[in-house]
Amino acid sequence: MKRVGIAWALLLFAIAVAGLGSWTVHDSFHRLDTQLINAEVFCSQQDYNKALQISQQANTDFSHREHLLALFLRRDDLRQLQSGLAALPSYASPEYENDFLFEINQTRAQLANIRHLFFSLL
Amino acid sequence: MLVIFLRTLMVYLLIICMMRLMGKRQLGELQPSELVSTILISNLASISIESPELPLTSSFLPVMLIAAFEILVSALCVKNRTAARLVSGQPIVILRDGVIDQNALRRLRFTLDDVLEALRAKDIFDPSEVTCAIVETNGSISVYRKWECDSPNRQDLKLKNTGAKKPSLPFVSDGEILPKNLSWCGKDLFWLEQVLKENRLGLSDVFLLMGDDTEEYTLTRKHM
Repeated sequence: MKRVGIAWALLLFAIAVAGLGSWTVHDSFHRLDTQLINAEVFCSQQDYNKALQISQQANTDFSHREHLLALFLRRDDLRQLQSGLAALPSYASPEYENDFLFEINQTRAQLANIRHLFFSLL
Repeated sequence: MLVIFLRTLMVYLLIICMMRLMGKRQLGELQPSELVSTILISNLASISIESPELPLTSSFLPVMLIAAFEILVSALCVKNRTAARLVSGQPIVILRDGVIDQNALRRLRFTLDDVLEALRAKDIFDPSEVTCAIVETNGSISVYRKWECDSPNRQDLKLKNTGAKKPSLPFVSDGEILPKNLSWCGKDLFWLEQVLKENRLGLSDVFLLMGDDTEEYTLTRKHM
């Protein structure tokens, strides 16, 4: 019966890790998505400095959370997302406005795709 | 490469721990739920070794969950017979008084050849020698022979036991004393010391010392 206790402990641990993983992914992606939407809005309003700041902030936030996300998400997916985010600040200028908007949409689509793969049951 | 090495080591250690936790039954004849968990665990273990791009949690978490479920389900089966019947099924009689139950065979999807083969494995070549044969929940077949066909035991032959009543057990293995075996056979360290003295040996010179509840023993010296 000692093993039953260990089994309950393992079950609780697994539930806690799964819960932590879901919360981390949801929170990080939600924050990133909000930042990308804001960057898109500022770019549409021709406020490129603000758009640049937000895209840089998104990169910093992502690099802070990356090691934790790597516990729950595929590394290749994270790498793709990271390269998408890293490219954003270089397009935050008037001459590359369309490219900036295109890159933002692509990164948001990547985010949505990873989130779907992580959370979808079927 | 180092990452794969470390991942494999971690998965290996985890699987050893989980299999030990699930107990010895996992290593012998398996019940359906045990078979399922063993197959799943072996597949899950290979995932994070084969695919370094996947996080370790994708293997670790399911393996822990399956081990936990397996233990909890088996604990439930111990407490509740209905649950046990649902998870493992129940033994089914396929042969009564030498007559094969064809309906039971059909239900189990066993052929006549399967039954005859299982009987032959138990040195029975004629089903009429059997009073009762049961297919157990782990798929093995238990057979009870007719009284006139069964081999007699010592009690039937009224033989008196003049030798050991306990099996021969190791008392010293590779220089290490096994005190539980010693005491179970009614021996103590003093007896062991006497034996070593008789043979002019130290404990570290003994490779194997076997004995039972009689004064007989077998001693194998260690080769230097």
